[in-house]
Amino acid sequence: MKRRDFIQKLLMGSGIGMLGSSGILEALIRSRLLTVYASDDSDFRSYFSVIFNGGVQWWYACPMNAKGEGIVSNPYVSTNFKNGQPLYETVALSSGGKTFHMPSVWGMSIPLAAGGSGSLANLLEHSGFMRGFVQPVDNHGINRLALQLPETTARSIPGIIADQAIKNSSPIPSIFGSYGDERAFRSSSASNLSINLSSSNLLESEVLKPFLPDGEIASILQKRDQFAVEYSNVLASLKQKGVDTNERIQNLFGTSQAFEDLIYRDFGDLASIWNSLYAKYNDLQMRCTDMSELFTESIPSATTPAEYRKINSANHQLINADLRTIIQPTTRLGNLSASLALAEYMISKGLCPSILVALGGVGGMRFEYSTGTTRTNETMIMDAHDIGVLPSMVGLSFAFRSLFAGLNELMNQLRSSGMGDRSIIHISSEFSRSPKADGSGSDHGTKAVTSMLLSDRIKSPFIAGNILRNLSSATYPGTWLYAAGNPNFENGTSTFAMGNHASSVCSALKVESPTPNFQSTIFETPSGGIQPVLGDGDIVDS
Amino acid sequence: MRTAISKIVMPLFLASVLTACANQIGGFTANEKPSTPEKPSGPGGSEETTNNLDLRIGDQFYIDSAITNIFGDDSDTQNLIDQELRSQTAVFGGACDPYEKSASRTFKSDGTTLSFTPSCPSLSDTTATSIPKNSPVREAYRMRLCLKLSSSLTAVGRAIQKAKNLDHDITSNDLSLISNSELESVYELFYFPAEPTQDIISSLSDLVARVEVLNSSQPEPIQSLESWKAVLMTLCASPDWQAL
Repeated sequence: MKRRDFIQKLLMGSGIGMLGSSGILEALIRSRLLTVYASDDSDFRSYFSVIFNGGVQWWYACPMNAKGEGIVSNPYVSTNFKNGQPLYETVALSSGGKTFHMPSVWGMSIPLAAGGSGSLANLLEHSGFMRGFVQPVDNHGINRLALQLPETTARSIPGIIADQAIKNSSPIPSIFGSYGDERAFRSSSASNLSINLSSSNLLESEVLKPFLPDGEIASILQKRDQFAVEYSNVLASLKQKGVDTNERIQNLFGTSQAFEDLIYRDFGDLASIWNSLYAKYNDLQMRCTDMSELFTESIPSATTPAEYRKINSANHQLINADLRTIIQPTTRLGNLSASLALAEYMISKGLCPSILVALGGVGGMRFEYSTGTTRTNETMIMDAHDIGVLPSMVGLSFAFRSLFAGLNELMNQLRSSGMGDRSIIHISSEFSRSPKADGSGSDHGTKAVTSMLLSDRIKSPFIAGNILRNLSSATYPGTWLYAAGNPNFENGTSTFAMGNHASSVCSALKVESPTPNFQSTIFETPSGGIQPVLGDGDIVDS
Repeated sequence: MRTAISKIVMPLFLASVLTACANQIGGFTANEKPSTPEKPSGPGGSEETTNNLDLRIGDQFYIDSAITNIFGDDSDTQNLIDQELRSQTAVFGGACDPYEKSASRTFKSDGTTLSFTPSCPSLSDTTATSIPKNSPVREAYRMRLCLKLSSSLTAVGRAIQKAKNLDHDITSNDLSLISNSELESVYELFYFPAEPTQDIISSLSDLVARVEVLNSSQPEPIQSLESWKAVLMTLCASPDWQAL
């Protein structure tokens, strides 16, 4: 019997000698049915961290440049796509009295859940970019850990939030979704729930499962409700003895009562709720697959292989078609729909204040290539090492467009539940990418880590951190977010470290940093806005 | 190493009666209405303070040890513990060893556990806190375990055997009205070496009396068994025995 059916039966006073329970459950349900478990701590902020696995090549091509200085193009781009090349154009966006030269995807529209479309650029108002962080080692997994756990003996960012959540009796202190690097969770006392984002009906099957007294548990609770008064009296006498010994024992009973409230809570038809949320975000992704807006100019015709976009440096398989068509109607960014649906439900209901998800790769991209006289359409594996900078740009533009379309909707939902300025969305990746001079792909840009914050707590967009205008490297030349020194910060001209990154994120979350010896690159003004400590970052020559 | 315990003996008639009762939800009648319990409190308007920052409670190994000591190491009992406790390392705290093999269990011929190698399925399990604090989700898993154990004939049988200090598996002849000294004994299973207050014994007696009334139409072994179940469920559900 489904739990809601069980409750309905009891409320109707029907069935098998259970009339006695009606009053108890009715009282419980009336008092708890619509409860939103929002913290009483008005400055307690929820944290939704989105990690792109693999490093994000997208950032290097079009660094955000608040002051509009010229960037140095990758020579492959400037040689092969010098005239009329659309992909590397930046789009100038004004917000907060400043002009930002953003990657071309920021000039695209995004679909709206209510129908129609809006401008992706509208998200800029509440965006903050932090760049030029240096990872000490070059390793995918370790570098992902460092985003959340820059010091292995300290707490992690989700762990700190979870410790706060314990104080606020949040039902679930922290959730890690299909991350694979759950070691990044470290708290002083809290716990996290690891879930599989690819599960169907995620709310019922994974996240809220412990609070859903289905089947055997429901039957046992039915029996228990028959002696509810005596049961409560025993607990009260046990509590009294416990408190006489140690007054903090009462806190255990408080948490236990919070659980009791939850098991009698009517969560509604979770399957329908989940399906609706998932479908909403999946539909937004589907509506992002039309990439015709990405290029505002016609595709330059290619006459030699070098002018085509390389797919794979090993075999130089070519796309003899419009690059934008590698994004198919079925192309999706892994786990995105589930991640956003999860965040919307759990954060807006106050059920969990710390959610970390890894998005995985872009799936379903397909390309056409020729083998002799035969033309074949095959699935494209998006490994940025070899995929080529231009196809990668298309793929990641889709990925970010989908992400931003979803986050725009998530922000709207958080606002409607009063969580808009009490939530910090954090988008990051283990490193950026260093573009190869021949345009065939990119390598790990561990000295160019960038992350982005999105929140109503940000009143005006900002860019923190200096980058080099031109990394004078034969292999990786040009401007691609390579960290530059930041004079007047900490010990003079140091580049930002991952400890600074953690302190910055924690500053936005307004919790103590796991790396207190590292200064935050941002701070919160008395009026509540978040701004960079040093002002907007520069693109510097050395 | 625990002494081998032979498989629990539950007379067939008792099992069949219990099965027959299963669809009657304990044989309660519509006229036996309990009063409305105290208004619950909790998050979003709690009267309780739930700041348990400095209160130390046991991790998964502590809970595991306590529960196994009370409810026994029979295979089905251990499976319940695997399901609701040991698989939730990150929730309960108590880091596991990442170099351990996958969970495996071997049983003796009588169904009791010979050895158990816990799993360490998630990387986060290796860094689970050793100083856990309570949370609703932890309570959820702990309560699920308590509720399931207190409805398991095998687990309840072992707990009764322990509380009565029997050197043999329980039979229907061992089930009788629970005495106050037995209530003290079962209390001490959870709270050893503490002793119960008179209020605790009194409230437990009231609970037993209530359950007996609810099951008054049942044969005597059923009445007593249901009372034992209710007592074990209530004591197990109380969160304070986790405190260190």
